Amino acid sequence: MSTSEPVLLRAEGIVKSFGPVNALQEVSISVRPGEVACLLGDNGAGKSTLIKILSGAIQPDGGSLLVEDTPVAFTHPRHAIAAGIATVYQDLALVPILPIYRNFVLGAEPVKGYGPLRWLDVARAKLITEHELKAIGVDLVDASRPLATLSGGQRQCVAIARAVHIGAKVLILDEPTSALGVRQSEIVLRYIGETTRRSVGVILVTHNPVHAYRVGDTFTILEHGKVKTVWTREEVDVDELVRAMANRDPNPAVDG
Amino acid sequence: MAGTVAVFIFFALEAGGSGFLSRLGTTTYLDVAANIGILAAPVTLLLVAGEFDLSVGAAVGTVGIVEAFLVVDQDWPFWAGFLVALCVAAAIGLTNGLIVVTSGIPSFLVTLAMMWALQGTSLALTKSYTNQTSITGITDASAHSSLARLFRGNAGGLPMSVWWWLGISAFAAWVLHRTRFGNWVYAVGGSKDAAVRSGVDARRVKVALFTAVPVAAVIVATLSSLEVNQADVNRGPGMEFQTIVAAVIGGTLISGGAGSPIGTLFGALLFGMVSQGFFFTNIDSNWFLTFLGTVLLVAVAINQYVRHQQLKRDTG
Repeated sequence: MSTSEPVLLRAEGIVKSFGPVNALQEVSISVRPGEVACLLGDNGAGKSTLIKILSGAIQPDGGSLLVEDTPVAFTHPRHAIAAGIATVYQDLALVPILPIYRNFVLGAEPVKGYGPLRWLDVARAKLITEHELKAIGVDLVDASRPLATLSGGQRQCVAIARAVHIGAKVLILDEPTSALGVRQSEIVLRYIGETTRRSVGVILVTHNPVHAYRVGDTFTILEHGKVKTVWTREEVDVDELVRAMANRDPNPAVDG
Repeated sequence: MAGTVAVFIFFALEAGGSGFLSRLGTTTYLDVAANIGILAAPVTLLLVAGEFDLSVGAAVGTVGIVEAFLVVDQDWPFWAGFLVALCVAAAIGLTNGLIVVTSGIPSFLVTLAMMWALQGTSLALTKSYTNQTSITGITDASAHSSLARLFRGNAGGLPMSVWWWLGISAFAAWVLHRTRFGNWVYAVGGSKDAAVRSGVDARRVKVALFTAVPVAAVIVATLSSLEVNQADVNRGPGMEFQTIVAAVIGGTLISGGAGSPIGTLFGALLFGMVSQGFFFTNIDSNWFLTFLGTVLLVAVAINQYVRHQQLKRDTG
């Protein structure tokens, strides 16, 4: 995460209100290639609103969005996906009952055929799936089995690997570990670290400071729709992050 | 499929001597299965996408009357009447689909309303015009049409309906299992949100499927009209449930996300064998619906058990 690298995605001074409620006030966050930018905050801090703006689901009232220094205005999630920004939601963008490989290629299915007559290249879809998942340590018995047969952590990894495979430059991960146990969370965190080696920028949204500190390069803490603190990894340790999240004032003089 | 074999063996033992296994007996149940199966193939795709079409039976009666009216009463060439029937069918399906995706009203209700609207309209118009519920003479009027020959008589010893049934089932299976569109159908039915987030246009998928179902109704209507030289508005109603039963016996999940037209083909075959085979046995035929209900429940229970085993978490 050298600072000479271009910023992949930058949100600056984002403002959003829902009627009288100021959900976001002058919120900024940015991510570079290979960097994990953590967005922390309690429920209702405005994390979800910011993700929805970054992924094109809703439009901000003010502020600007820049993709590789070019201003953009997303009016539909498709626009964000086209710009290389993929959002993996907490409740998973996958279909449990479908075979693993059909999930993996969903929306970007490989086809073969001639002219207007094109059909699914099932063999290649399975091959891509097995290859990509093996690379992240998910060894499949059979890619034709329903996704539901995988563990929660594996499913989350499939969702992330899928977004990277489809060509995402920026991954927005919404609480990827919140529904998982310790071991399953570990699988996912390890894989997030793996992802950044492919020069993907990750915005990790979480309310778990320990998980954030495991992989994060920058930490933006939201509170009541405002940025409370921004730290780089060098400026903070895990205890301070935990305290900040527990809503107590950090005290650098004591915690050194 | 195992169920279909079991039912065949049951009737072969129970009614084999009284004509079930004869050429006529076989042709009869295959023809019944074919008429249900032609509709059940696109209905399977619609069910996999998580939607119902209860208006398909009424659509059979309606488009049959439209076709017969144009060909018999208006002296149109058969192909023109057939083409207009296809357009009317597509309009019915498009209306169903657009109402469902824009209003969010469950398709069960939208297509139930369509079913009654079609039945009422076709009955009222046909009666006011002919004083009957039917129009006679379509086979005679289309005797020289080469297109009509595709819907009449036998080929290779089997009724034309059976060939349509096999062709449409194979095509539906190809679309569902071997095309991108098919993958979207599965995804939309399995988890609509996940499909939409992956960039799938769920509305277009559903509208396309709603449109395809009544198009198949034109084929069934034409086959049966040409067989008896008569179109009748009362032919068709009831088939909406038979198609769903064939799909469900064949393994289609009624809540969407799973199913296959090949399974449905065997479901329709089972339905045909049960509905005809029963009358070859010595059992009082008044028990038919009781028997049918039991077969349906057993088949669905077996399917559910199998699916539950498949979806079990891999703990190894």
